[in-house]
Amino acid sequence: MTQSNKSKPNPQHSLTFAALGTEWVIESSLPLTSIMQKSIIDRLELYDKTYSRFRDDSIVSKMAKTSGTYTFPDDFAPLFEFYKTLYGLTDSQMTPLIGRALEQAGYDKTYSLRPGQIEAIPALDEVLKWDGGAEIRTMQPVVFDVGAAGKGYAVDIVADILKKAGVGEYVIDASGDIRVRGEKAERIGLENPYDQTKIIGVVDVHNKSLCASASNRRAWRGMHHIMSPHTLKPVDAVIATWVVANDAMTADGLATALFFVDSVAPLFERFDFSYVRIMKDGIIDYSRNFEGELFT
Amino acid sequence: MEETKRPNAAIVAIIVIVLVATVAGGGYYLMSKKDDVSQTKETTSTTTQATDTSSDTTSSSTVTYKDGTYDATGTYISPGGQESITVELTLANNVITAISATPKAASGESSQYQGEFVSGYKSLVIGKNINDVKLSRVAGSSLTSTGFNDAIEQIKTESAA
Repeated sequence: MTQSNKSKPNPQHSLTFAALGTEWVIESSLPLTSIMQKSIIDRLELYDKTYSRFRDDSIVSKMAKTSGTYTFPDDFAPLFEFYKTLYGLTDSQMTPLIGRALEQAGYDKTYSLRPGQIEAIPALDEVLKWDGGAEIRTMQPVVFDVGAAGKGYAVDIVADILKKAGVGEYVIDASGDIRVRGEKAERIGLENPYDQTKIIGVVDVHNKSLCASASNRRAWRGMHHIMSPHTLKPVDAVIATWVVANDAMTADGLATALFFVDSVAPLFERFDFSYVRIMKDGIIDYSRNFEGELFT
Repeated sequence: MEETKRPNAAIVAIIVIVLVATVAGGGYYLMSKKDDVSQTKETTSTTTQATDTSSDTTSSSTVTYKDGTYDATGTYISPGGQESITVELTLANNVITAISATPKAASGESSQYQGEFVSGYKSLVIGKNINDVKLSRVAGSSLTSTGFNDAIEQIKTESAA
């Protein structure tokens, strides 16, 4: 994405790399040593090897072939707990089991992008048992896709590495999943999903995280990557969402959840956040506590 | 088209609009009856035509309100509990000249719910050019990988063939 017209009066260190299927940028006031850089890259590689449905050597890929008991790393429990909460708050629409539908819609390991017959997605408790720990037991093969909150969670994990290394001022931008810490606030443009040269507004992010979600890029042959397990079709009521929350996993998950709900009240009851979303009819729906400006 | 609006119908219409918006926002609204509308401020109009009731002869059920500002307060149940919202109207010559809706949130949570329907809807316009606005960065959907991009290119090639 374009980063034109940046306002950075102080020298910033910037690291750019690819991970989890997209481009990452980490900006910091202190330089990241090569040891720090390596530990970040390695940590994300391990994360990818655990959760990616696009590689054969991942735990998720093994679960897609065979039922059984699988032991995940310690990062699993908070992510799955969060998914279970959003599953409940979105009337079961936001589900990690959506992976099978995405594959059958064409968004598969080979990027065939050829939609085929899409099978029904089962309810969570029909196919797996989880006791809250690192282990999960599946009764049939399941295809996990944790893209709805997984990248935001990875951003938080990287932030933890930075913090432990003494880097407290940073911006981690994993291409639309952004975490900001430090004195300097970020003024972030909200990309118009219909025209990438335009922004529909700006949001001020200070010691918070912003996640953007939209159906414009991962789109092919009438499909896109935010699918409903109820309709087995891409969601069309909502076009784009932005959520500001304290941590990136929460912002990321909520940005997806907003595609699946009419009333935001149940989410507001449970989480602390602000949001903007563009609805299909062109209406921009935003929360009153949104800190920014909409160009309307 | 009638020249003068009938304020009682207009007040009810406003309350209905708020009611509908409240219901859409997940709460419900106990509609305050017309006779609950309390007159909070009354200005004795110096332009005498304002109180001339003879102009309201379009219907035998017309009610004439004195110029002034009127409150209607409704209570409703939100997920945060019982809340209230006040609609304030200013009337002059039986015409609504000003209106505002003010939520009175008892708790921080419910002010968020009220935010959903009291304000917060705008129509999408194109927006501003990225180069014209001072920004740190832009946030949109994630950039796609080369694998995905190649697959999209392939689709374009097929369609062109």
